[in-house]
Amino acid sequence: MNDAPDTTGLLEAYAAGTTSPLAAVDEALTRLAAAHEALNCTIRFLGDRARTAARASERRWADGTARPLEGVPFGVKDVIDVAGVPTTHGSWNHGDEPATTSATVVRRLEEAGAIPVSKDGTTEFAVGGPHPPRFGAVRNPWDPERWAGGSSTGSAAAVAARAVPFALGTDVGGSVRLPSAWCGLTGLKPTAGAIPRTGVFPLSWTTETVGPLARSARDVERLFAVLRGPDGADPRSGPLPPHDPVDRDDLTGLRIAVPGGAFTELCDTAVRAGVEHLVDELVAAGAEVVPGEVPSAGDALPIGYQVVFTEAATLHRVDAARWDTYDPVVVKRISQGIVTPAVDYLRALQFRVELQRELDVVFADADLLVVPTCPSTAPRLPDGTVVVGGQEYPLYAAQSRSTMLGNLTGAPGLAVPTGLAPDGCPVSAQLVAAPHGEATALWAARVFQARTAHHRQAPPSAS
Amino acid sequence: MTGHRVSVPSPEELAALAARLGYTLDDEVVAALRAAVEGAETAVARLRARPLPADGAADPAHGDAWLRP
Repeated sequence: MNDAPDTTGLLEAYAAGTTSPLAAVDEALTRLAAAHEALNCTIRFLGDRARTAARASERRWADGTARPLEGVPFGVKDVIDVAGVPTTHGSWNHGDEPATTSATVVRRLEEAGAIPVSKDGTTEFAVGGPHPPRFGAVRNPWDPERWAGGSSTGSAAAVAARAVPFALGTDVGGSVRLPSAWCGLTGLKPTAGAIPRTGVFPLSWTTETVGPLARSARDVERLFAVLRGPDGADPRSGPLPPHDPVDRDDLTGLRIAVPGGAFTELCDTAVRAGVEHLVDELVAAGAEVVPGEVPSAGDALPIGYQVVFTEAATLHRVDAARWDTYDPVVVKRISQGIVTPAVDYLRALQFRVELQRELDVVFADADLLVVPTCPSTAPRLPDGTVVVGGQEYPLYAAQSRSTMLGNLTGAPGLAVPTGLAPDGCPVSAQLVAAPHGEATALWAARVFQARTAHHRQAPPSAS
Repeated sequence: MTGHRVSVPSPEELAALAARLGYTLDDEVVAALRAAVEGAETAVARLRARPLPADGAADPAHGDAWLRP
């Protein structure tokens, strides 16, 4: 298979007349079918709906009324509603009735001309294990003996397999950034509230965000511009400052902090090397490294999980009589939230403020933090264990160590591929910005990607 | 670091609490949730014992305010 274009490349091809939305949608559906056959990444194909939209896009390109994402196919994690299509949440307990309206994020993309072509695999309710009972594990395009990651598992696999140029995921503890890292993608967890969650099945109101998984920072930039802004329905999504992308090709004046401590104490050599490589390139492009540590970062994971699971247990109490039909991993994870004392939950929310203040200290002198996205390359199936420094660790002890900080505080984080480990799988670093600092993270990532080719490297199975 | 006593309720106590709150959990789940609570207990106990910053973080609304432009 030839490498498929990314979002920007596809729009350029439409403008040049070298391909058309209908051809691209057909190609995406063909690639998706092949990817699904190999990886189990798709819950539902939206062929008829997508082809109808593609024909309308063809007319818009022909008559000069093409919109910003006109004719670009994309995938949708199956906890996000698409009108007329069931949303299964990866569960036996949902998904028989079609959604009456699309989620705000889907509606915004469609109004910009993009075309949903698939509902993508998710861990059950975006919190279960790698083996959701209804649909099974999604394999990693880089190594089918490994998991694509989660919870936006099918979305990551489909984009990495070059079946679709981008997909939508959700991120409560890293669920956009982790599968992005393990599949060699560029994935954004936005500032909490920057992208409305209306029409997304909730898991944790404090920590949950929606974001894109894509092939490049330039694509994420383009998508974020469409997705952001209040919708009047998500109470955590309010007025935003203007989004001003930085189009400079150098990073003069950019200050980056590279904290250690909890971010790096459990971290494979190849991941560390990727972080150092990213920092070296940013410095070579003009950035300056400044001191900056987050002293309480080590507690962000256990306290963040306490918030997530307490809120999840609250949301799932209505279905408590049906928990025996859930993925046992879902039940084991969220049940710990049942017994969280109210005073501990509220103390955790106070800790959120303390962490934010620690970030304020760092961001007084730095524009970005550069940390590992996760400690290892992709988890191995069937157990989902990860290997750090030659030693095996359980998935949940390792995976969200650097990502939960962003969920608990609300700060944005961008996962950026930094190369391949000796095992042939991608490694990733994360650029963390102050609230509403996505443009700064995207600027740094775009410059890094202009200087390197890691983000263009396709899995052997897709090239 | 701590000096805090790590003390997690027994499986029976946790199961009873869960049942009172509307959740029926089997023994395996109770064991798993107790292990998870125990695993987080050191961090949680540290937090319980830590005073809030003098400039005030008592109202969690500060956490939402931080995100507003």
